[in-house]
Amino acid sequence: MTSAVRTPTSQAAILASTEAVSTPRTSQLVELAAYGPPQTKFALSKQEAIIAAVAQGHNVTTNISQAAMMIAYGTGNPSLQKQASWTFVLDGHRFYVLPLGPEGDWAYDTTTHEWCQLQTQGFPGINFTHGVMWGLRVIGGDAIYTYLYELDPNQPFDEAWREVEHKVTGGIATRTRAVIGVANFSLTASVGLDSAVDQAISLAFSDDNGVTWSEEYDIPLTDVSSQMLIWNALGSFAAPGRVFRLTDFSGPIRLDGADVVLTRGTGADSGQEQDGQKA
Amino acid sequence: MTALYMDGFDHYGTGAASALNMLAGSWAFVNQTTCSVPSWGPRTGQYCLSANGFGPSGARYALNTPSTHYFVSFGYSVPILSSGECFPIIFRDNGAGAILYLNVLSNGQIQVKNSANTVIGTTAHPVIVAENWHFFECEINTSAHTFVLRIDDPSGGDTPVLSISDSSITGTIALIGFLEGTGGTEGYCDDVFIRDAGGSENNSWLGDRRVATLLVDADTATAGWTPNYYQKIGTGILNNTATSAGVSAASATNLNLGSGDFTIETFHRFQALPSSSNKAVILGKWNDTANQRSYQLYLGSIALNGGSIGFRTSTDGTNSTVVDKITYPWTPDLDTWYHIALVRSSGNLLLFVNGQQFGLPIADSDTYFAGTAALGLGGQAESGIVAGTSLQGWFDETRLTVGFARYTTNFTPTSVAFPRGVSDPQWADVMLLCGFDTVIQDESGIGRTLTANNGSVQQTVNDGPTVGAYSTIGKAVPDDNTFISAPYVAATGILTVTVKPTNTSTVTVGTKDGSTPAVYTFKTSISTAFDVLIDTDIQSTLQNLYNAINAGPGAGTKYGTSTTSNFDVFATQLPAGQMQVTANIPGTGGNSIASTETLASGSWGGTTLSGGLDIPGPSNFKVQGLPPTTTLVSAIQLTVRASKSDAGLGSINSAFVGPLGGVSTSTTHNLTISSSYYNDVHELDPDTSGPISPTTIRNGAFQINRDT
Repeated sequence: MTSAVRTPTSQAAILASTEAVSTPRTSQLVELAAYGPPQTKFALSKQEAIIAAVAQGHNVTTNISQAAMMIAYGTGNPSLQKQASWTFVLDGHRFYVLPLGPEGDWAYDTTTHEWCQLQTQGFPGINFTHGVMWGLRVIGGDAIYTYLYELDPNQPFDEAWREVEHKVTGGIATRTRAVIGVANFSLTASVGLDSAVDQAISLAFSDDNGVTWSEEYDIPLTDVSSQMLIWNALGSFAAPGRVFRLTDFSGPIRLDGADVVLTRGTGADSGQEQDGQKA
Repeated sequence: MTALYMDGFDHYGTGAASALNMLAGSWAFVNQTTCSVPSWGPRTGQYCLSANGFGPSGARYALNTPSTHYFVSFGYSVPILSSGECFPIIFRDNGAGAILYLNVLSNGQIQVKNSANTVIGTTAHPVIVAENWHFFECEINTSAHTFVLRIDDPSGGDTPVLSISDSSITGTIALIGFLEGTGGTEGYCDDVFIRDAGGSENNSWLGDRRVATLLVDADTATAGWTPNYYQKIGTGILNNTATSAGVSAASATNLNLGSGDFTIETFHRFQALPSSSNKAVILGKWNDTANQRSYQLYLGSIALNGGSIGFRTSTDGTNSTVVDKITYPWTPDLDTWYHIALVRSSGNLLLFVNGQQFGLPIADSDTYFAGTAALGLGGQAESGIVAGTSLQGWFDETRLTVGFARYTTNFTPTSVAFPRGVSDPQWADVMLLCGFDTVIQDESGIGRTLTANNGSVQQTVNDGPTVGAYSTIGKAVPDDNTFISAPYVAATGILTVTVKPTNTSTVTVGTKDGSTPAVYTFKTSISTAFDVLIDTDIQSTLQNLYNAINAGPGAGTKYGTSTTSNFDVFATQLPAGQMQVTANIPGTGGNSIASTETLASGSWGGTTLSGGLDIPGPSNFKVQGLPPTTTLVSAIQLTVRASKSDAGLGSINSAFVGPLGGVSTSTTHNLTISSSYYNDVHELDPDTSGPISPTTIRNGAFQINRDT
């Protein structure tokens, strides 16, 4: 099992915007020949009821039964072919960012010597361009609009509204044709301070080097820091090995590592009946 | 302004209802076309437009200002490629004549035809694959006689699949049709975005644009708009909206009211008021056919009793002893919950609506007939529910207490379920109790069997404060029976007179001219303006007074010559020694109109009128989150489905509010009594006047304001 590598994406908050504009509203008073249901608080002596010719009218009420905002939106806008590479330091790690246009944006952690891909949902790469260090702060620009962002690992949402999806993969390579059973997969993570309620972390695996993947097995994350994340009975695999993939949206603050318990055997499970399980 | 209209077809519902909803304000023509989901899924959101190809099918959008130059983009898909017609788009003139249209061939190529059905262009290669969504973006300019089509071009920068210049492309475009055809070929359409070439935004090729529907899901300032939920008390209600619906119970002696105290009470909500000569029975034990009439509480139609709430009884079951004990004019608002209670207390009938007494106590010591009629709730139960007697609406907590008067003065209706069992000191007197939370059943100690007739059913509510404050307007499927409402109510005052006024006693209400108090003096012989003749009885004298206030009939005979109509109020007569005045101008301003008197036996409810309500201020609503893959926003459309309750002025406008408080206002829409869609498009950020960003939408607000 290789060590788990956190793959951060663009956790950005709006740093600067523009000034307000206000438009006054005008209301009108109009005359309505109408009245509401009569009311009286008197209970006097008994009298005979007389129906009178009453000019029955009503106050006009405006009713709204549905309201929606429709938006004509675009997605998947290609990145510029030529963008400057840039670098930033986060948690003592220096990252070197290479915007590669349609190939996406990649960052190299010069401390761990690991690569990770940076991507904002809807964009080929990260919606954080021309990054610079401003003291200890990491500042960059929006790819389309006139916003400045700060890279903030504590923000659960990109641009304060877009969920951040984290994906990390790790694999076990093998040449053997004998099947290897997977008794369980356990993840050690800091799940406290989960900003979203009961977001799930999911595990999927691929036995063909990422060509096809199993279904996603979810475990809802709680704010209990001692929560154990264990997926049991994950079938078996043979050559070329198994790749595990963890996915979460704005979930754990930190992934410390993952462990897998393997068993040697001759039988093989299809994997279809496997399921995630919260311990 | 360049963007004119967009539609994702996610907010109309599905099936036949969706077509009807589309026609209410958004589309000009919809036939054999609904909103649905193809087996390969919609392009965006939950649903898309679908046409079956028969009919002719299709949907046409009517342009507000017909012109010659438009950009239109949309998604298009077909289940199979065939020679049958399912034209992706047709541009039509004012007379609905085709100017230009696209035709998909069985090999996936696209033809362009003109008004004479002549092919003026064909794509060089197949461009359509069955069961795949394709993005169309086209530009038509009939002044320049050109048409350009791009398909599956994500950024609008590729070489067009068709670029035509032909003199036959001419005319003024008034209608844009989608999925039209008669050849029986199904077609699907989604993400319609229509623009003209004016303005400075969105007036050229944009590339792939999708349309997402973000429903209102919260508010930032309620500002007086009132949610009208189905939910009243608990989790369920009785839906009595079907034709001739009603609930019945077999006759029982403990349902007879005799001559003692009793309380009939229920929460009810009208979907429609009785029409023709019909009545809406609230609760009664009444059988006309078998002469088994006992008692009945109902709302009559205008033709039946002037649109009044009525209570009538019989002492022997025959028509000859039927007496209308109460007939009080009342027009309830539709889709609004009311608590109604009819009480007999020590020989006096008292009527309460929402805990406020209507009229004066009515003496009644009759012994109601102890007949064999069934009990009817929501309809007159004989052999089934009698046609024309059903209350078309909903009921909640309903209780019949025999032997005890629960209310004798004004009260606040309960907001929780009536007590069950020992927590009710009068539990032994409860002869019927229904909550409708899960089933239609009698929850009193009697536990009598109830029968739901003609489609009267228990309805589990799906809205209310616990579901979400804006579960009324945040619905993906429109339901015009629930809404938020903005009232504009005039102040009123009721004058009650129990003894005929004496000579020179006065009533003062409002002013003669905006400043001079209008003082009406009762006289045995009138002589000057604002004198009111003391007539033969109370009611006639009050009639003279309200005619004087309104400057109605009787000038010179019943009230003084030269009496001018009251500057501030108008008057209406009520039954049983009462008269009501209503402020001429709605709103809280009427609450300061003076109402005093010097009567020996009479009074107003207060020294000023009361109950006037102003139009609430603008209300800001948050909307659902954007699709997470949104990178840019070309335009937004504020869509409101609205109506007004009655004839008279009622208009709204909507606005887009930026995170920093900037406001982009829209057109004012005059509402109709029927619900319709009103759409307003915005292309600029209200804070920056630049392009709208996803962040602006996420942090901004959808503002709704009643104008008049």
